[in-house]
Amino acid sequence: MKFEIDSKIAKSMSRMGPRAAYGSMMYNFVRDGYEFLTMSADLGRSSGLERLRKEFPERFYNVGIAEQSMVAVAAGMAREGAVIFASSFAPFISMRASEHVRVNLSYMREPVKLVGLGSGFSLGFLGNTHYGLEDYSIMNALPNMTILCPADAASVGKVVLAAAEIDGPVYIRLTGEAGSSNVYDQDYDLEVGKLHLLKSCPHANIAVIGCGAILSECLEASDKLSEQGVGIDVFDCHTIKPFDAEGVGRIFSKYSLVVSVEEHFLNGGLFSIISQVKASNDFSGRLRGIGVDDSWVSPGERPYVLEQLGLNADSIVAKIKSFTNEKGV
Amino acid sequence: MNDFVELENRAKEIRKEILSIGFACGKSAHFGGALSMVEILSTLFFRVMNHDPKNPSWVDRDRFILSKGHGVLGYLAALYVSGYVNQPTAYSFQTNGSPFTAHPVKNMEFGVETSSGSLGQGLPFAVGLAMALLKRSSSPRVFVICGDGECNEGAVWESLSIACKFNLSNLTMLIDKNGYQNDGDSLSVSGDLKLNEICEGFGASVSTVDGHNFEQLATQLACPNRKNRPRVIICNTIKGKGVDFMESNNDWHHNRLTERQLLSVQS
Repeated sequence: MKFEIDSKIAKSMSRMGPRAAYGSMMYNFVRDGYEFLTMSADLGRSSGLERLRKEFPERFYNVGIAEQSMVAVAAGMAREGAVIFASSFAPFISMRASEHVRVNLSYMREPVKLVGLGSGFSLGFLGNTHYGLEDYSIMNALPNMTILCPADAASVGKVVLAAAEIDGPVYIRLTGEAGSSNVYDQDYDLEVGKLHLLKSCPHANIAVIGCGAILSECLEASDKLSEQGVGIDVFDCHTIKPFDAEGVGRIFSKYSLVVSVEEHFLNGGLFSIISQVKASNDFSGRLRGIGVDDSWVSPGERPYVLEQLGLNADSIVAKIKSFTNEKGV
Repeated sequence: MNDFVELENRAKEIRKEILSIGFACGKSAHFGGALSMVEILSTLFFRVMNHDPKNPSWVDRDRFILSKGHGVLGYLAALYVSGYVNQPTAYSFQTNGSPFTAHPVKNMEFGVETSSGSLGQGLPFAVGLAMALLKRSSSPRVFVICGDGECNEGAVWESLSIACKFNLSNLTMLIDKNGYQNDGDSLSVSGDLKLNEICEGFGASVSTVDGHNFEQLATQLACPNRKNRPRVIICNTIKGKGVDFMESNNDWHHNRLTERQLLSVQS
């Protein structure tokens, strides 16, 4: 079975947001015969799993507020053949449970699918304790992990099915809120481990590589820059690991400037990953990173935080223009 | 003569401010778990704790840690009513850039000792404070409020074990046992935990009180801890206490209060 996006699904899922979309799609998949199990640490409601819990109670396990144990318990179940998706807010599942992920999923390679809810600044007023700004850098440090970042709510369905097919542990990072713009309004081929050209402009000389909900800001920035005569191509890096080194190599050879954009700390994030790949492979070309600097933000609504940090569309436009104006370009 | 008139009046003020501040932000807020601990906060801030709102960093103050960080509306209301925070600051709650958001952010200017919100981290920090303070001759006390849902976290039990091992007689852990957590009632989410027996098993001195009864709270909190033992006070409470449509209704774990609802409570 496949899950295909159309404009109707894209709109309805965007209204729900990625967390509710996750729960809704898990319900649909279970109803349609997928042998998926779900697990949560007292965030079943926040994972959109209420309907699944009510109608298929044997497919939902609530372990209480115990994220570390949840990861190891899910690993035990996965060892016995369960296809299990365990969800909690991103910092709790990626950091509080980090060593349990390391031993059970990375080291022992138990194929649990972790779902980091509300990552980036998606949880707004819940504040820094609930923001996910380190999750994929931590997961990237662990061998055997696959890291998937759906760009919008509808893409969660594609990513869930892709994760289920992977013979190993996966971290799925959900970003964006209910009502966030959808990035895709039609279906696309989600090939794990391959950068996806999301939007191209004629004669583009600049490539933007982003992941997750911040891509909608990148698309808006692309429109604004296009109006000003600056063409940029936007790539969806839905797979952080394994990283598409070949794909990024082709990008460096084609464009005069590559800009990574991420709702994550720059330290250890997408910018770091691309920098490492670039250095290791002797790719020549210019790379700049837009992301969260090495400090904490004053919390608030996601658009407010993105604006404070220079991560909204207008700031991305301004930064890309300043990069193009740097000496020697 | 009722010895608890002032505490009752302060509790009323705190409860009123929880609703007003929570309404003013126009967003969903954690009402239920704030309202369940109002009497505990009133007893601590206006009877038991040795503290000075004009001097939040006073070295000999008793320390207060809200480990169940989502109860911040109650904490903020208590800080406002006791004079740590002025009205504009209190009413900036959950607005962009405010020092007060859905979980406490460490800010000694306002008397907030710790950032919390990730459950199970306030208690171990409080244990550290108590270990350091125990060496002082003035021996300030450390009070920490945990949720019963929060007691799912393994870190809570590691911390209690440490507190018992190091004989932290200056530490008091209050468990706001309102019987609910995010996904529903604690019995169905977490199972039937015998908190009293568990805490005693670790070696703490344990008592159980009605968490809305000032006499019981004040009596338990005022008497010194048994020598060499941390204390646990299990406070049986009602989530959403004091607002009829919120009481024991977990829809109010995190929800938005409408003007009509606010007016119905105030009338």
